[in-house]
Amino acid sequence: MHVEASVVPTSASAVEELAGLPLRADNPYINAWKDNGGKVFGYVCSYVPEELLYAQPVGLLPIRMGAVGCETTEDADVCLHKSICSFTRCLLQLGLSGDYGFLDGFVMTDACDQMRRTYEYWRDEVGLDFLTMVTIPHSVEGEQRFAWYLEEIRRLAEAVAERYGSSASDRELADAIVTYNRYRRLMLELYALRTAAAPKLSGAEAMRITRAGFNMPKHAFNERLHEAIGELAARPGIDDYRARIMIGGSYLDDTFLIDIIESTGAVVVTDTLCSGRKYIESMVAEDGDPTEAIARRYFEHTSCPRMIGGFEQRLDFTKRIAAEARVDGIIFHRLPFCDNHSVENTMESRELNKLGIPTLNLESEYLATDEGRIKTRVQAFLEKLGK
Amino acid sequence: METQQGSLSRYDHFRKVDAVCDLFQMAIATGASSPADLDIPTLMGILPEYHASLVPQIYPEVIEAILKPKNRGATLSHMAAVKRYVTDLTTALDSGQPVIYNFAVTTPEIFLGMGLVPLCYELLPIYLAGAFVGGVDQDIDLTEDEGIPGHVCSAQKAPNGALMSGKMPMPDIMVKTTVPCNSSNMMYQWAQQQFGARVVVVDSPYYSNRRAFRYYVEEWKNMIASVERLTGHKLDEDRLRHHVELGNEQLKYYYGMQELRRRIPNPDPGMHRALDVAALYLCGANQEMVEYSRTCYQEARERADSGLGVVAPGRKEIRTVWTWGMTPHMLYLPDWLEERFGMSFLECGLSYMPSEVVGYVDTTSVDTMIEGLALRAFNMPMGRTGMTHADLMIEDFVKVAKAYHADAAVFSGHMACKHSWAVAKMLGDALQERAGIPSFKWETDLLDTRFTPHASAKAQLAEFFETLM
Repeated sequence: MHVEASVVPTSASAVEELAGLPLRADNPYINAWKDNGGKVFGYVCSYVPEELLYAQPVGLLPIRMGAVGCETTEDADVCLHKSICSFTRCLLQLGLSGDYGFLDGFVMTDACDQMRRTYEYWRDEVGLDFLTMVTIPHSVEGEQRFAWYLEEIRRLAEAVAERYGSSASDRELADAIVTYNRYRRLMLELYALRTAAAPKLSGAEAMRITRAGFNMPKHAFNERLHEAIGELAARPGIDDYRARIMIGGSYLDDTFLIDIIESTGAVVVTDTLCSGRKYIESMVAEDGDPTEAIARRYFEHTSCPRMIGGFEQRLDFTKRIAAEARVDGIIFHRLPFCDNHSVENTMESRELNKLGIPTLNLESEYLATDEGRIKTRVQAFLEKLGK
Repeated sequence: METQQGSLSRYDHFRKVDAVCDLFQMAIATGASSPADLDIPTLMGILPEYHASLVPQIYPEVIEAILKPKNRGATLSHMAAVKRYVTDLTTALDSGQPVIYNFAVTTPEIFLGMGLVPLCYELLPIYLAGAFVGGVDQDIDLTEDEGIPGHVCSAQKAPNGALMSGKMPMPDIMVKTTVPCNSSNMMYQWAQQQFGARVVVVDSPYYSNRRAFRYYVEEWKNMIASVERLTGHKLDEDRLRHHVELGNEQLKYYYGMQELRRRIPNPDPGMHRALDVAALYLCGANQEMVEYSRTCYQEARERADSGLGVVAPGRKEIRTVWTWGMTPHMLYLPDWLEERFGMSFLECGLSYMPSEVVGYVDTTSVDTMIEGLALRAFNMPMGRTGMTHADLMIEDFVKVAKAYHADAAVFSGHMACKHSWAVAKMLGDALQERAGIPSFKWETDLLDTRFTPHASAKAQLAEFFETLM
């Protein structure tokens, strides 16, 4: 479904439009999609195969759910204990408060203990037309595990078909694959502009553009991103920065932390986030069985820390991205109570430090709090870098 | 090659657990029924120096609990079984066998069937935390010194710290089921990097249906093949059958006690739930563990037949299900609550394994034994409800509360157990609405005594139980 014609861009500048795209119920693309009879499905985890949803003839728009702007978790806290991470609680809060009332469906995964255990609250307290779970083995080694994931994906497609009465053809899947692969290539171009000696955009701008990509139909986003890349390339680069920083760790789609880092004069030039560079790496094969090709890409892309046996691959990925962006240091962020990233950050830091790559392990809430403490730690890190 | 003595003396955790077995057995053998009856100076005089040095570190409340007639037989037989396990373990290690650490949600019989002696990674720290003041806090600190945060599970932080300080032997292979949580899975990855161990994964699917079980059985077969390849030890059908038969006999009494705890009054002491969990982690290991389960069953059966319960005489029984589990570093807590408030401990999230689902392992062939053991692991505490929809845990406990005629529920939430804390409200609501019982939630840590100090825990629980009296 193409809805670009129904949307009046808020700015002639593609960069401005994408970086300032309103979220959720204020998002003109989501509203246009719904007005045109389409359905909107939310997901959180990067193991949800978006192409499979986007290809459905009923017109499914997959959006990656975030909770930017959430200011309180008072309703979610009734359901969830304080040991559940604040991103999970913020997201549920938005569900309970009706901010995600426009969603037709939600596809969850079992990647994270905290998010997976909110399934029942989304089912019983929020209430959605369609709610399901794609479950993921905890290791990529062995064909049996891939076969499980592939079957989960096929079951997702069957469940959608059963609910909406039609299913995507191989042609439609192939088209979606081409669209998403183009999206990934364009995003890699955007990252190349970030990693230039004089970066063409700040880390915060990049995060906002990335977030727009989570909340727009990929056809429309690709066109605007293509324009945005042209605008950015024509800009003068940032050459007065204090240090080049990479960020990694827990899920992040808010610019709060990046804003603090960049307020010290550093520039965030790249990341290893599952909402960032990790999300856009690896293409889906454009030949062969499309469902299997989609499953293969999602299952085998640089893994989430919860995948046992994938540490060396993840560490190599971090080293490669850090080298490519010529970073001065890495800031690993973790949400309090995030087991996956708190342990992974520690493990990666230890290995990176052995190689002389400085790291800072920071803990911060998803809600915008604790600015002074975080800024002090970032400044101390930059001083340690001699910057 | 070392002598048994060499291995026991080299690894502090083995030596300490072995000594605890001696000390508890010796205290009970005196015939004393309370600590006041013990002639401590005389006992200290005859104890080996190492044993004597440990005495002041033992919780007095534990001694008080184990000397009571209702706990004596179980403690004696359990300690005999553990001592035998440590002896077998150190003998095997001294003979040069590889060190196989198995996660708690695996069945030891499969490794015993390969001629290996599995060392349950989480188990020894649980014993030490239960017996000694400040138990394994220092080991937890050592792991946290490496950057591991407080919210990561102490069940892995403690043995990791023990490995770093040389209190347990370095692992050659670690076998990890991916239930129940991210925290444990991450800490096995950390151990892999820290100690250079090979981690063999048994992937545990999210669902609890037939499709998931077929997948899980294949995971087990792949794990066995990997361990055989890495150790050179092949699974031997007769040896496997021997341990499976021991396990089946042990489970017969385990299931029998579940039935007895449904009686009013409950005839089975609450402190035994922690021992039962340990026994489950060592199921089929030796004949002594069968004797432990038989002793517990027979003593409970005799009490039941006489219409006797375990709460203090004159107390009204408050029948309680512990929906998260017990707190191992407060081993004595159920006994204290039995005495003070008439609480009886019916079942808990760390010990509940439904007999009607798991049953016994069919010993017809290697395949039936593997499938039967996999079914048990699939439904073991933590395995059954840890990594699936919350509905299963809720249904289990509503069913238990009704079948066991519970009056109340206690959720002793281990702080690191996020997936359980996420269910706590739904579970409490369901128990109130469908079983008509109130739930009390409190925060604790499985092994770290500092998270909620004992005095604070007792005060919180006392306040709840006083409202029910």
